[in-house]
Amino acid sequence: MPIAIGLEGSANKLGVGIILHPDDRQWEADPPSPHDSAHSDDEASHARKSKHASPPVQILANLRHTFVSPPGTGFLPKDTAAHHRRWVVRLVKQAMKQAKVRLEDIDCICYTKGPGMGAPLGSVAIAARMLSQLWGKALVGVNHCVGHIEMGRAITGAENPVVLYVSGGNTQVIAYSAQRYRIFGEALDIAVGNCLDRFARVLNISNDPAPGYNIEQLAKSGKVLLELPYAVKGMDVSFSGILARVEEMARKLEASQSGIDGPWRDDETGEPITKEDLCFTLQETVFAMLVEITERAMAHVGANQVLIVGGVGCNERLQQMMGMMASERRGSVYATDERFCIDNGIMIAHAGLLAWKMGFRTAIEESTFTQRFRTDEVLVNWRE
Amino acid sequence: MIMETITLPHLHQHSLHAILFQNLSNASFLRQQLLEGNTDFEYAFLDASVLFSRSQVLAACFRAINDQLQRRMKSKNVHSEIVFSLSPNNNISESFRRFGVSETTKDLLAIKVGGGELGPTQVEQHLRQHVEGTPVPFTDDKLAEMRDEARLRKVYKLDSVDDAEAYVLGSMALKGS
Amino acid sequence: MADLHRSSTATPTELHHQLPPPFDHSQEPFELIAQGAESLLFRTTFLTGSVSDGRPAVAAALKVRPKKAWRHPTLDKRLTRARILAEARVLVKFSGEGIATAGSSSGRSGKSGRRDKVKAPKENDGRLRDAVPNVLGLDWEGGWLATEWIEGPMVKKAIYDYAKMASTMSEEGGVQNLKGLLRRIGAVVGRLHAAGVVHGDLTTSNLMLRPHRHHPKAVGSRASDDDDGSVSKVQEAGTDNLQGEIVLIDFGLSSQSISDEDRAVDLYVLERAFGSTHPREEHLFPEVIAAYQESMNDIGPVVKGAKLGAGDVVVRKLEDVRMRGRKKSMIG
Repeated sequence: MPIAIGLEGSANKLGVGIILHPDDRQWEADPPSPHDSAHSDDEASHARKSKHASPPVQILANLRHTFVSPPGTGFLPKDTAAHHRRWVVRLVKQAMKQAKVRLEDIDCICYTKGPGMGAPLGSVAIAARMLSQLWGKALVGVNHCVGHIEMGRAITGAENPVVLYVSGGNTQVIAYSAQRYRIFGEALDIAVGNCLDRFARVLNISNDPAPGYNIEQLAKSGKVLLELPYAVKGMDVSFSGILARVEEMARKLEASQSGIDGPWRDDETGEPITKEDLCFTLQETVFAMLVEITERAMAHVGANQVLIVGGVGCNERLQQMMGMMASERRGSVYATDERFCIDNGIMIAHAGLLAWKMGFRTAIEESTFTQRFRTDEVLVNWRE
Repeated sequence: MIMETITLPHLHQHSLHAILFQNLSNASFLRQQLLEGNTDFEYAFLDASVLFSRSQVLAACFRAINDQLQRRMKSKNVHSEIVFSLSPNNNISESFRRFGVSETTKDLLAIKVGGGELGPTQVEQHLRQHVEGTPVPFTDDKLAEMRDEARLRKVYKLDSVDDAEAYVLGSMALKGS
Repeated sequence: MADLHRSSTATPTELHHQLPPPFDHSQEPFELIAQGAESLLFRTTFLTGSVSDGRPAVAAALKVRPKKAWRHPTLDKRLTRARILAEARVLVKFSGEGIATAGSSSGRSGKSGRRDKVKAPKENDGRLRDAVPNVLGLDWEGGWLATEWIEGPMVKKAIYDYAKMASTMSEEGGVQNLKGLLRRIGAVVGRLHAAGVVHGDLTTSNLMLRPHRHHPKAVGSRASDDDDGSVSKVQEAGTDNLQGEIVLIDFGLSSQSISDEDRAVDLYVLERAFGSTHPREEHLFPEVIAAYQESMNDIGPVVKGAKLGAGDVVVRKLEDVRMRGRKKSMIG
């Protein structure tokens, strides 16, 4: 039974995961229990029980350590790379211990080849090469986005969903066709998570555990929906205009709180505008755009399942909106919790092992990393 | 029967009664009844010189009835709303001056929405009794004979009236938004 | 629009709950033609041809934008209004091309002596008038827009049908016809851009292929005209179902813009939609771009310095937009 270790470090999270893929024959004889980290409506469990579903994967270890920068700042490549170098050996040792696997049980070392930030990707690629040499195991370079998609499918049992991949670096609407994950829509400028993170910086919202998480909590008590630009072009979106406008609003709010002109009030209700209102406004607007382009892609390809992956995919308001849209289309939404939607090592191990089983290997001299690596460049030959 | 009763698609409960009169001779009497608010004269009296086509008239009727149903009429009743709906802008009194019956109206289209308690026969009788003019069929050809191209060009801001129906209908639909 | 009243229509009770007033109490037939992400498209009648009227039925397209419960109600209302009006404004603008005084470039002051230096955009030549449907009525509060019915298939379907035929027939003539179709698409998008409008959602589902009108009919051709079906059978058997004029529909995401960036993004959206919808024909897409470039160079605004035409500039920009999409770094 193949086992892989996966190393992820494309942004500020360092993740190490160990996965086991049971044999297909064993799977047919012995159906699994639904994995506890999936949460979706009833169809998910049906899908998992159906004959065509992949065998359940076994997560032997899934560890993560996050580099958190102070409020008002983003994570810089150099510091992030140093963080990953400092932690990678400890995390690998801990994962091996937790997984209770011996060195000889491991079949391959999977690592994130890209896309992502250059310096941290480099730290992790070096660690992966070192392990490969030390242990004499094959290397498998993995596309980070494909990692998210495959892990999301494995955990939720969604068979052929339209995928919304939303994170600090990526905003893509993806559907599978002819052995590729094809990008139907994407952000034409900055990623949605980047838009949220940068907004958080202006308002000095904490980066612990993540700026997006804190925006989500603040938005829960927001009431006033202010007017932001809304930029959907076909199945593509654009966030830079929204960011510029909401940053302007944030500065206006700060100025009004300290200034002599008194608070900034809502035109209709006369209530003072709050930080919470800005978070609420931003979330409602950008999530409406994301749900809209996802719905367009679903209509385009005739799908009624949608899978949300990536860090922003943890947001419960986004999941709720997506769920309402999907149920209007008599479909369902699949999402995972923070163990899987936030960058992690297990997804790299999983996607890498799928490729490894098809004979894919990354030779040491090709074990590079790249900041740019399109989702649709990967041959997904493990799917029909 | 000279009067035509028209069912607008989707508004079957609001049928339209229409007679087109040529060579009107009592325009000022009719105008007076409207100004005095005589409830026996609940009609849309349209000056045929600014009418393009049946479609244009029916589009105005559809919008007026729909706005009545949605409780957002800009004028006092559905008949004045039909007159207003023909206008490409939001000026109500201007729309009455341009599209409603005036002292100089030569040809007149009379429209009544629904019969109320009156049946079609009574509506027709009442109109023929009080409107002094020659009833003619309400057709695009007749309207084309009656129209005043210079006035049409002016009220709808057109360089040419040829093929302009689509633009006129569109302008009417967009008005107020 | 043959057999409007006899075509298979969903029962009124199934549809009426999706329809805004006054259509929810209508007695007319509705045929659900397409269920897109944000709108339902029905074929029905409008203004003339009620079932209870005895006049011939005239088909109209009714586009309904249902409320989206997942969207904040304020935002939902704002978007529905904006999109219905964006669409109607563009359609009305083009229906007035060469006719309307307002908004036409003939309103320029006569004093300008610079006319011969600047090649005026020929935006009022009226050629876009037939390339979009006419507006019949709308109600943004109710979320509906009624337009003229456009005959013919979606370009998407025409290309799918071609692909089926092409696998059984001799190739060469077919490819030429397909190239011709693609060139007509490029030309019409060029005219659209030259007239100062970007579509915002160009796909092969938003392009119709209207058969050439051999005998121009009065507005409102009759439903009974092609009842015996012989005409359509002859067309079916013909070798070329890719003939016809391109009609642009679905302008809900359109905007008035003369920015080269917006134009390039418009083309990029079409290019990607085309590639994902017609992967086997994707290699022919450069025909669209080439015809666009010619069309814009020909009728678009003249660029200062004048070494490049307006079309050349947009196509260069398209290259940037493509690179940005494909080579975008993850950091943003």
